[in-house]
Formats: sequence, C-alpha cells, structure tokens
Amino acid sequence: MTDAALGEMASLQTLRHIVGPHRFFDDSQSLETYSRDYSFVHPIRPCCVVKPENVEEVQAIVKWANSTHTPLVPVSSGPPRFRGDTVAGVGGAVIVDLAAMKKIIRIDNRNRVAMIEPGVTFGQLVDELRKEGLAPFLPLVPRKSKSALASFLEREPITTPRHHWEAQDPLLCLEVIYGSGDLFRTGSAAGPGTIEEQWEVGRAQVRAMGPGQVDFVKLIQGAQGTLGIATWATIKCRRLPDVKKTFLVPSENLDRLIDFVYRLMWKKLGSDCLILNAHNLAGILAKDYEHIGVLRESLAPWVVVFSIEGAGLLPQQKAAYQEAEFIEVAQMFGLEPMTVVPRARAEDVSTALSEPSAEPYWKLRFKGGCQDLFFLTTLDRSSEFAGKVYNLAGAYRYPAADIGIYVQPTVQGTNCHCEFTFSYDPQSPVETDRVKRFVADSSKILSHMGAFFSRPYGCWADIAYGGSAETIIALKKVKDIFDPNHIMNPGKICF
Amino acid sequence: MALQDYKSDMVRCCRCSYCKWVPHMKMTNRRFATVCPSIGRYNFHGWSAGGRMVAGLSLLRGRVDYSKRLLDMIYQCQMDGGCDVSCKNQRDLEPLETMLALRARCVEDNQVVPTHAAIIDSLNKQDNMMDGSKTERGKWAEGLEVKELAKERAEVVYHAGCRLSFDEGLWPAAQRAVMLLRSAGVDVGIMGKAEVCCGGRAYEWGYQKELGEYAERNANAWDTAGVKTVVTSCAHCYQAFKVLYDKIGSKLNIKVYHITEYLNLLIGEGRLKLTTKVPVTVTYHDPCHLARLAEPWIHWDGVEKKVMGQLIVHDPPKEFRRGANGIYDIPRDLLRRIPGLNLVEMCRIREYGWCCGAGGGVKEAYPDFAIWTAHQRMDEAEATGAEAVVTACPWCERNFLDAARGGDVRIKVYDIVELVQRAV
Amino acid sequence: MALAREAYRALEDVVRPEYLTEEPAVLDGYCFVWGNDVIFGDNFAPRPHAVILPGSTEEVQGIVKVCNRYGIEFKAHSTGFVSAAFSSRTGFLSIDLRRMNKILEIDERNMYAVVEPYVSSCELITETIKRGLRSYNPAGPSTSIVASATSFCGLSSAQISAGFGGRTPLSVEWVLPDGEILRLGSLATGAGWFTGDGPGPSLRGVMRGYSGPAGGLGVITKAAIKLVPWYGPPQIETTGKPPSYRAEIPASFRVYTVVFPSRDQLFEALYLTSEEAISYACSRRGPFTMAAGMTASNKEVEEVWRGGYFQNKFAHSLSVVLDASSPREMEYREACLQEILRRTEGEIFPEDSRAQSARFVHAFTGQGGVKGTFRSTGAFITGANADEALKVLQKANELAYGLKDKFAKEGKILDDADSAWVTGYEDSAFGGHEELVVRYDPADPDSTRAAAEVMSLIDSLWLEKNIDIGAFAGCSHSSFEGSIHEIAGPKCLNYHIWMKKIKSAFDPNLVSESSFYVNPDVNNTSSANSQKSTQNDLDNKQPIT
Repeated sequence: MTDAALGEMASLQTLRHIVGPHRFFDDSQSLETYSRDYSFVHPIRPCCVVKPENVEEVQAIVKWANSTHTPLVPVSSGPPRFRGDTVAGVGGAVIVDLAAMKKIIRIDNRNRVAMIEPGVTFGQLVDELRKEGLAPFLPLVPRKSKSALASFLEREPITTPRHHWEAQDPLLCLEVIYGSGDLFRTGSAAGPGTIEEQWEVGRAQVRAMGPGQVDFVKLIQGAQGTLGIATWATIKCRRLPDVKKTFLVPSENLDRLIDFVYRLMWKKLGSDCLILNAHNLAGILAKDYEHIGVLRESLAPWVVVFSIEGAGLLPQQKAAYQEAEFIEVAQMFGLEPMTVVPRARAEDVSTALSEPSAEPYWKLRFKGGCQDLFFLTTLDRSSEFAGKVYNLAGAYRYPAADIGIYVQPTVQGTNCHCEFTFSYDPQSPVETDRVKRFVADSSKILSHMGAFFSRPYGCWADIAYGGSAETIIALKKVKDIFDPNHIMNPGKICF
Repeated sequence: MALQDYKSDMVRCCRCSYCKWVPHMKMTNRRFATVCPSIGRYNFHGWSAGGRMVAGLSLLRGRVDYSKRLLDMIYQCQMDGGCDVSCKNQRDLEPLETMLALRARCVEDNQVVPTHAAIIDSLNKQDNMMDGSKTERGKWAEGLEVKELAKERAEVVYHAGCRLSFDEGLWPAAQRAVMLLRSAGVDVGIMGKAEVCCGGRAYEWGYQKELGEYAERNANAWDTAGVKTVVTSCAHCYQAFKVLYDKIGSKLNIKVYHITEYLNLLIGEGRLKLTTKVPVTVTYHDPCHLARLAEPWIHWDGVEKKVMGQLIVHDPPKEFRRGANGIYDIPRDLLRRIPGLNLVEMCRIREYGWCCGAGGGVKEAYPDFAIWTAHQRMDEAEATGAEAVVTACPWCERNFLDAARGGDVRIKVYDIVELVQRAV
Repeated sequence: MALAREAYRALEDVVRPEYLTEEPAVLDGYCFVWGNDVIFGDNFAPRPHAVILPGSTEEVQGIVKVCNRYGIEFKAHSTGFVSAAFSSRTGFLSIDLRRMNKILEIDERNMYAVVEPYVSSCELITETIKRGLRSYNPAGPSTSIVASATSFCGLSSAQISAGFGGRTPLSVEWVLPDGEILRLGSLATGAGWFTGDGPGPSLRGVMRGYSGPAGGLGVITKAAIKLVPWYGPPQIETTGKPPSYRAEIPASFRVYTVVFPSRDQLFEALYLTSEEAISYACSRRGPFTMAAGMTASNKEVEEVWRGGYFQNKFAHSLSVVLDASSPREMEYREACLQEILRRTEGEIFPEDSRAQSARFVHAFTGQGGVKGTFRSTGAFITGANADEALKVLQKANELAYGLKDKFAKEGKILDDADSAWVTGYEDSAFGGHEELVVRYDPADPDSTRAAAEVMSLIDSLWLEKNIDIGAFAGCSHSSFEGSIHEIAGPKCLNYHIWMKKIKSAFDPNLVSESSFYVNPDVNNTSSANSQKSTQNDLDNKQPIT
C-alpha cells in the first residue's frame, strides 16, 4: 500500500471516529446510491458517506475536510433526488448526509415559527405542526423524503404567493457551519445571547436580516452546499385554517388566466394560487400512468388552483368575503370557478397541496423518471414560454401531451416560477437521451428568450453564468471568504 | 434682524431637503414636484434654502471667505419663498428671512454682485431699478390725460413701478389699468416723473437702507398729494408697500391694493361690468410677491424659551408666516368673472407655485437662469392644455415673454388686466 | 484637503467641470446634517475633498475608477438626510447623485418600479398610486427610495403591509468599489429586473443586511423596487392652508387612533392586527409624536401637552389605518378590528379631521415625520432598536422608557413621555420593530451630550439584556466608525469579522468610505464568543482569521 493510500486510510479513520462506525459508510452499495440521481450530471462515486447527528460532528467533519482538503457534499433529503447538486462534482468527495439530524427543535406557536434540523422532512413537519394548529408553507407536492430546510435553502417556490414577501421566504434564520469550519447563525439568531437566552427574553429567531450589514442567510440560499452546511433553520409557518375552500378555474388557454391571476395578486386574495396544465394536475391526483392518461384527457388544458382559508379571529367571515371577492373577480374575466370538474374535485387537489406526495413521488408515476426544467420569469411571459416549449417538443419528438407545466406566481406576484416536467422511462436509453437533449437545448433557447435560471443546477450553471462575468467574480470572492479551501461541493454553480 | 440672530435656525436645519420640493401633500405629478428653481438649475446643495442656511453658518463661524462662487450661491436665487413655505409646513424656522439677512450681510461687507451694484448705484441717482433716466419716468402715460399728483391731488394713486415705467413693451398693461380705473369713475392720478422706486427689489438684494428711504419718500409724496389709496399692477411694489414697509416700521397709513384686488372691488360695487365674452382657456401664474410673499407681516419681538425640557417655544408666542394668507383667490375670481373664459390650474399653484424666474436680482445678474426658470413654468402651463398663461406682475410677464421668444414656446402670455379690459 | 490636481482633472474629464467643485462654501453643504453634533460635537463633520455630480452609471463608474487609481476615498449619497451620507473623520470625495433622478419603468402588472437613486419616495408614490400601486415609504417623503432600500435602513410607517424596505429591492445595478459594474439577479443575464436573487447565492446578501453599508460598498445606480397594491384613488385630495393641509381620507380607508388600558393590551392588539393581516399601517408612535403630528406649531403642542391629559390618554395607543380593495373587504376588516378591540379592551378615540389627516398622511408617505421629530427641539437621535418577536419588543419598550425618563426629568432632553415607535413587519411572522426617539436641541451642547449618552447607555443595555444589537446594526449615529460592531460583534458570533472580510474582498483599495460600515484595519482582539448551541455548549471559537 502506498504512503498516500495509508495516509488516506488514517484520514478516513479520523472521520469514522468523528461520527462513529455505525454512521460511516464506504460499502459499494452505499457509494453507488450517492453517486447518481435522476439528473443528468455525470455520476461520480464518493469515497464514503457520513451521517452526523449533531452540529459538533458536522463542524468536526468540516474541519477535518479542511485539514485533508477533502471535498464535502452535503445532502439532507432522502431519495429520489433530482437536481444533481447532491452528486459529487469531483472524485474523492465525502457525502455528508444530514438525515440523522431530524429534530424539530422548537415550535413557537405564538410567533408561528419552527426551528428544524436539516433531516426533518415535509412529512414529519406537517404532522408535528398540525398538533400545534400550524402548517408549513409548502412547495408543490414535495416528495415525502424531501428535507424542508433544503427546500427553503434552494428557494423552492411555495404555493401561497400571498405569503411570499421575498424570495427568501419562508426561511428566517440559519445555523451554519461554513466551509471554513466556523459556526455562525444568521439574522437575529446570531445574538446577543445564546439561543436559550434569546428565548428567555422572548426572542424567537424570526428576524432574517443581518446580523449587521450583511444578509448572511441570502448568501447560503441557492448555494447548493458550496458555502457551508446548515444545521438548523427557523421557518415561518401558517395557521391551520378553520375553513378552507379550494377552487379550480379551468381554461382552454393559458392567456385567459394571466390577467385573472394578476388581479388576484393585486387584491392579495387567498392562499394557494397556482396554474397547472392538465398533465400536471392529473399527475398530482392520479396514482399511475394509466390513470394519469385518462384523467388528463378529461381536464381542461389549464387550471388555476386557488384556495381560500379562514383562520384566526373570524375565520368564517374571512373565508366568506374572500370567496365572494374571488367569484366576482373570476366573473370579471369571464371565468368560472368550480369545486368539481370532470373526474376531479378541488377538495382532492387541496388535500394534495397540503401534504407531501404519497409514494411513489407523483412526478415519477407516469413513466418512472422525470426531468424538470424551471426558471424565473414574469407571469405575463409564461404563455410565451409554454408555447415555445410545446413548439420545441416536436423537434425532439417528445409528446406534447406528456409535458407537465406548473406556473407559480412568487414574491406576491412580482415574478413567476415557470416549470416544465418531462416524464420518461429511465430504462429506455432512447427516451433518456431524448429528454436529456431536449432539456439541455431548450434551456439555452429559453434563456435567450429571457428565462432566468436563478437556481442553476447542472447544465443551467453554464447558461446562468455564461454572460455574467462580474457575478462569477463576486461569487468567488464570497466563496473565498466562507470556504477558503474550496472543500464545499466543488464543481457546482460557478465554483 | 441680522444674520447672527438666525444662528439657532441655521444650526437646527436638519437637511431634510423639504425646501427643494412642493409640500409633499401637494405633490400630484413628479414632473412638477420641485419648488426651488435654484437647486433645480445648479444642483449643488448650497443652491437651496437649506444649503444657504449652512452657508450663513459657515460665514458666521469664519469657515469660509467670500468668493465669487459663494456670491453666486447666495444670489442665484429668486428669493421667491417657495422653500420657506415648504419648510414651514413642518418646521418653525425662517429660511427666507435667514437668506435675506445673509444678503444684507454681504452688502454690509461690501461683497456685492457687480451687476447689482451698478443698478443700485443707478437707483440712488435715478430712483429706479431699470437703469433708466428719471426724467423719462411716466412717459407710458402720455396721451392718457391722467392727473399728475406732483401738482394735483387725487384719492387714488396708481403706482406703475419701475418695470412698467421703463419697459415700453409692457406699457399697455399700465395704460389699461389706468383706463379701467377711470372708466369705473375712480379719482386716480399718477406720480409720473416724480414716481420713485418702492425699494422692494433692492431690499431683496440685501440693500436694506434703500427700502427705508423710499418708504419715507413715497409716504410723504402721497400724503402731500392727498392720496388715500395706492393701487399698483406690480406685485413687487405691492409686497413692498403692504408687507416690507410694515416690516421695517414704516407702515403706510393709506390702503394698499394690487390692481386685481381693486378691479375685483369695482366689479363688486357694480362700477365695472364684464359683459363681453373672452373665449380662451388660460392658466394663472401666481406671482410670488402677490402670493406667498404678500402675506401680511406679523410683528414679533420676543425671546425663545424652552419648556418640557427642550421644547422650543417663544415668549410671547410667535405666529409664523407660512404663506397661507397671500392673494390667491382674488385674481382667480377676477378671471372667473370674465364671460367665456376657462381657467385651468397648473400643478404648482398658490403658496407652492413655481417662480417666474425674475425675482431676487436673477433677471439682472443671471438672465440665463431667469429664462431657464421661466421655461420650466411655461412647460408646466402648456401641460395644462391652456392657450395662455396669465399673470399679474410685469416682472413675470416680461420674463415669460423673453422666454417665449425662443420659438419653442407655443403658449401665449397675458397680463390679467388685458383680459379684464377685453371683457368690459 | 485638496485633491491632487491630476486627480481633479481626471474627475473633470468624467463629468463636465460645472459638476465638480472643491469650493469650500459649497463643500460645507456636504458635511452638515443633523446628528453630526452627536458624533463630532459640532454640526459640521470634516469637509469633503470635493463634490461631484454624475449623471449616469458610466460617469459613476468613471469616478470610482479615478478614485481607485489615485487612492481617493469616496462616498455617494442621494438626498443626504443623515450623518451616514457625509460624516467621517477625514474627508472624501462626496458623490451627489442628484442628477440621477429618473423613474425608468413602472411595471404595473408585475408590481415593481425601476428607479435611479435620487427619486424620492413621495415622487414614486405620487406616480405609482395613479396605477393602483405604491412603494413602501421610508423615513420621510423626501428620502431616496433606492438609498433606503439598498444602502441604509428601510423601515417604514406602513411596513406591515408594504414590507420592510430592505426586502423590496429586486434587480440592482451596482458600481462596486473597484469600479466594476455588478448587476444582480435577472438583470445579470439580461432577463429583466424582476428578481435580485441568484443565479445561485443571492448577492443581495452582500449588498445589505439588517441595514445597508451606508455608502461603504460602492454605489447603487439603479434599482428595481417591489411595489404593493394601492386601493385608494389616483390622487389624494387635500384642502386647507399651510401648515395644516388636510388630506381627504379615501373611501377605501379608515383611520383610527385606539387607546388601551395597558402596554400589555397594546402589544396584544398589535400582535393580533399583524396576525390578521388587516391593516395598511399599525403602529405605536408615542403620544408626543402624535401631538406634534397633528398640530401647527410647538406652541400648540405645548397647549395640548399641558395638563397631562394627552400623554395619559395616549400613553398606550395605536394608530391603525385600514385599507380595502372593496367595501366587502372593508366590512370584514372593520369587524376583525372590532373583535381585536373587544379582546384587548381597546377603544377608538374620536379624532377630528385634522388629526385623522395627520395619521393618514404619516402612514401614506411618512409625511409629518419631520414635524414629529425635528420641529420640537431641532433634532433627534434614534436607536435602541429591536427587531424580533413582539414579546421582546415590549420588554425593550419598557427598559428604554425607564432609562430615558431619568434624563428627561433632568431637562436635558425633551420630556416627551414614552417616545418609542413600535410597528409590525409584514403580517407578523417576522416579528416587529421598536426604536426609541430622543429629542434634543443641537444648538445646546448639554442637550446634545445628554442625547448621545442616553443612546449609548441603551445600546449597552440592549447587549447586556440580550435584546438586540441596536444602533441600527451599523448605520445609526452611535455606530460611527463601526463602534457598535466592535462591541456587539464578539457577542454575536463575530459577525463583524465576516463583514470586514467582505469589505476587504470587494473594496481591495479601501476607497469606499466606511465610517458607517466596517473598516478592516480596525482589529478586534477580544475573545471569541461563548454562546451555546441548542444541543450543547459550544466552546469559544477563535475569531476568524
């Protein structure tokens, strides 16, 4: 055995010692599991997987990685994973799987805030918050194994634009181990006082800004684990409504729904407000390929899903007046809200939106595999982008009817998350290749049209950073500060 | 009061920049949201009331010496008082009085704008601000056969003022005024060659001594002529007679009217009837010296004191002049009485109106700035859709006419009396 | 200190000569502002080297590059209504952004406006309400919306509905201290102005935190600012004469002053109002501020205050403004407010139209703030801010009032009862804001010293009692030369050291003047923090090197 190999063994022994032998994995199967995901990033096997249980272990791992110059790849969510950010970008990396850190540390009912560790999934969170009369803000039907903290770190859009004041929401404060090995807490969590001392005076780690004249949490969000590892987060929650009513507003074309949704944003009505095409709506309701196929034929091509909730002091009155307002707005635009459409009930959609996906993950039910293509734009351009994608589908011989489309107003309607889902059979090399090329090529074309890949996974990184040298320079400065030895998830975004 | 008497005000200026804007509650269009031509043109903070408060303090503390730039900063200002109204919406400070004191200090220290100095020199010799010969004063009235009060007596004296007396292009304004008064049966005369300056413009430039001298001379001359009422078409003169003379303790013991006030009175008494249609859409420009600067003077001689620890009050209580009581409605009422005339308003009117650009010595020493200011106003007037801008001051009228000469300006300029005469 | 002639000529080449000056009389206008007396013992800070007025981003860039070449410190300001715009111990090149005053775009559907730095909040509000929109309103209608949102504070009388200003910037065009231009978010890729975050990490996090770098990190030359709906008319009608203009309260608004028997009940009402998300504005402004806002002069304030009725009646009061997009919605909001009042024993105090107008315009544009703060004594200092859950704000309110009252009774600062301003943030799950106003006379050195002392004591108390960092986290008077950071940093995980690293990285030549930011040359040698994690006690970590 060479000196290098001996050195590496000794080094890994140190790592094993940090987490304990039962949470250190270097068997083939484990390594294989973490070497790839549903994305098209190049599979790379890690050298091992560690599963720390607490922040001290995380910090020790990071310090070890600095001393040994070992890349670390943080992972919080369970499989299936889709973005490629949790697949090592270089060889010899250590996967730091935070699934074992799954405590909901505190639920503050009064302030509607929960403090959660990275391994807390949406499934776990929904159940625990429900006991307190609260609910999390959710992205669109997340998978059960999805880490809530990771979702918000990734700036995944939530389905309730009314409550989405800024892209950062609903994330508040973070505790993080930076790539340098330093522990930090963002926002009001930084101090003064320990967390317990803060609670004692009535603080709840709800102020996201700062501390000082830097917004530390914004630097970590969207970083794909390249700057540090979050070990807990406080997140805004919502009250479980006493009254909830969901409507479906169908339309033959997307254009007809745009001004309607803008008006709803302007009036700050409702809670859930999103647009799905028939395939996606069928996908979240139906259980398999066959049922999805049948259901989507019955549904209108486009549907606004809109919920009204009554919580707090006068729940019935709130829900009643909002419903009346909503109906009036719909009538203004010649649209008809429904609680039942052929083969689907709004109530079922509401249920689907309130919980993580049942297994299998809804996006995989159609064909077993899927690729998402998403970006930010403004709502008034969503139809243009949808039209373009449908157009391009032909060139790649991808069945247009199989494209799932999700349009989510964000930041109270200021911008819009536009998402296309392409299902395919992962066992079929032809389909896989087709989707791979379709997504890669379409992404470039859409970017030229003005799509903004704010979350630059995989091939989108080149697109997002290709024309903005100053952004790369600035981000590298940030990287050099918080991860001076560049051990955190190298090969991702622009690092 | 001298500059040092305003030291506390200068120190207490907080640099909120309200002096640069119309009162915020009156802001309706950002295109016409500013009230200060000075900073609008020159941009550096010193070219605002707040900036001049600082300059005054700097001078008092010996932080700066006089320089041409400092004099430009002080004198590139129409002293229109828009800043004063805006500031006093929120504060109990005296920015305009401070700026007047600053100018007086400059003159006292013999730091003067050469153009102004020359005109004042002429004033002292020829009793007018137009560098004209006093022997030519009154020529505008030739052929009118109006009483000459140097030799005769009358109840009412029509005071033309320096601008109207020596600006031949504006003579019709004075002529029409006198003819209207006579047609209404007013026993009116003029001082003719014996008419002298009101002293107001000189005062505004920092030459305070001249105001007192002309106050005395005018009072004596009118007293001798048996005058009970002075009527003038010039807003500057109106302000001098009504406000400034009172300020310096030389309050006239005769009635003072602006021509618009007097015509309104005559119409109200039935002595003047407006029966002919004048179908025109106009907008009215409030002359600063008839509007916010014509608010009656409020005498106060007291001290500042503190209560509640640090709350600044005055003993006796001090009433601040905040621009509320200028002449705003009378000219508008007069216009509305003209059959067929349609009056539309600009954004910046009344106590928060934009200056025509002629005041403060700007027309004389910085003519480009005066024209620039006028152009801003005429743009605003055009934006109302009006065919003409109407004003009630010869300085405003002259400056607007000069600005219109460029060819870009489509809107016409009228003196208010011209429209009244058309309606008779 | 004069600039080197070569540098001066280089700056003249960037802008026309008429837009650059080093004339002392002009420069004095750029080192004088309220609050300087607290820092320097004099209204004047040291004079800048020169003042320059760029008219475009390219000119700003040109200026910054000259500064880098010649080692000249610079700082840009918009309206310059605060010490942070002008004040440092040594001079710098003062960049006055007055000429950059365009509203470039108002996107009605997507609810944002793209503006240059000199656009005041009142100007923007005036134009956006014509389109059914409004921006948040920063510290007064004459202040720059860009400066507030990107570089300074961002608090607002209507932030409960319009959002905290610091969270409203979308894309931003930014001349960095090294002279390069950075465009944030979607602007970087040419996609538009609609988001400032990404790609990847959001560099908005470098641009500002709780507060902004107050000129210490380059110059923001354009910003897209998120707007929110406006349910009122396209123009507010006003009547009356100065100084008592009265706004006609639009039909879609209600303005209430509500009094409560106790502080507890006031805070509970604020909490419930925030939770229910029914208000346009909801804040405690303190009885003196209320009295000042609705009166025409200090004399009138004294009359109102004499006898003690006003301050007792309004000791625990909230100013509540409701708005609604329809009568039906207003009916609900009123019913909800009534329920809140029932639960908290709140009582609507009937006010005349003058008082109502004052409350309304303060919520609408921040108008009346100058009356409430400067008119009474000439100046004020604020700080002792806390931004967190309402429970700690209540504690902060009690502590601050107690400490300030002692000085007030000595007569050195205004005896204005409990002058804390408290308001919610964005429907509450974000906490609220509290700050203390201390009114003093800048023409009276004793008064000035007392004000500074009060604030310093409260800043220390805030750290001692684990309330918050205070000092507006770096941009208030008591944070001059980063002093608050050196004291608070070690108690807050040495955040200031990270800030210094950012400063060093983005301003390698240290030319962006940082008296209200951080100076990397000032070392913190205090021992590192001793804060505990939630799971274990963590030992002090070494300061970051």
